[in-house]
Amino acid sequence: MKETVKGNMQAGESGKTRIRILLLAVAAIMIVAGIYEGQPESVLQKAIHICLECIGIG
Amino acid sequence: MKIDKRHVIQFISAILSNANLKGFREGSIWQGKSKFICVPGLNCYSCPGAVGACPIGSLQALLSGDKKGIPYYIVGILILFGVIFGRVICGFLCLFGYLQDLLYKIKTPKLTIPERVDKPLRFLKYIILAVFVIGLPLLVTGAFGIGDPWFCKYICPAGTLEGGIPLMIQNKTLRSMVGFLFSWKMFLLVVTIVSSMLIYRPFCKYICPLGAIYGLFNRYSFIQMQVDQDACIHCGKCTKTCKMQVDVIENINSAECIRCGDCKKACPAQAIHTCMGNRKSKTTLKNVKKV
Repeated sequence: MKETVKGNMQAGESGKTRIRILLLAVAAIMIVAGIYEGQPESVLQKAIHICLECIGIG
Repeated sequence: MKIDKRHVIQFISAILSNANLKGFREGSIWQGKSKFICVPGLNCYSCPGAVGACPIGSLQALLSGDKKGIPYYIVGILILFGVIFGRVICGFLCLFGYLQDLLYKIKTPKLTIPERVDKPLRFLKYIILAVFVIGLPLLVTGAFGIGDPWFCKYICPAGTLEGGIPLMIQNKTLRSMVGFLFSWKMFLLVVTIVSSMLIYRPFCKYICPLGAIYGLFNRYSFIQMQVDQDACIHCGKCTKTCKMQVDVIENINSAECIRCGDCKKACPAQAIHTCMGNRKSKTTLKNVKKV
């Protein structure tokens, strides 16, 4: 039974590792897709001008 | 005097995220190319010192812009930060979290929100994320199909504190444009500041959409916390110490845990560990039902 519990835990942990790797891959693909669409430039254009809404001017 | 390493990291992170000190003097914001990169915490990009972009502001900017579509870039960055760090970002890297930590140190009576109010209120940040960060910027558009950053405009106190106040001090033109919205944002800021003295991190617990996002990754992030069940003596000190009101023994990787490590320091048996990825932890069969 000890081995069963340990086995179950290890299976759970390896499942989590797969999820982490999958999420990393998804993140990388999305970042590349965003760069391809020119989204960093949109972010930059927003960030380098004073956001009147953010500071409470509207 | 013992120096808390976490506060040192928070301080360094605050300085690095807001390194454009000249901006505070001149009442201007940094316009360098580094601003296409998001800092991991809530840090308004209209802060004169900010050298990076705010992830929540950027998300709204992409959703509300004229080019509608999935904001792959920001979502990818949020997933990347989330899966690596989870809410370590909240505990160690976020400027607004750091400010709340400092405010809580001020000697005032401290309030504990009863569980029957606290638990449902924790869902408010997810509602704010869904409605004010994603839904309204995407769906409510004005002229030319452009929407507003609803969370930044109507709720976020970080923009008022980090951007509004420093810029208004130096910029006469901005001061002349102040109206009801600024009064509303100042009211929210004052409420946040006062409540942060009385309650631990109220903004992080109930309002912050960025914490809501990162919390979803706590169970799967590379940085994990574990309770060594062999060493744990079930004294409950960890849960009593936790200022985010997490049940440490039952759910140490809760979405509410900001990885501050106070439970680790409080544990008399040194049974709580921070680990990277899968770390083999010893198990005990004490609480396992017999098959």
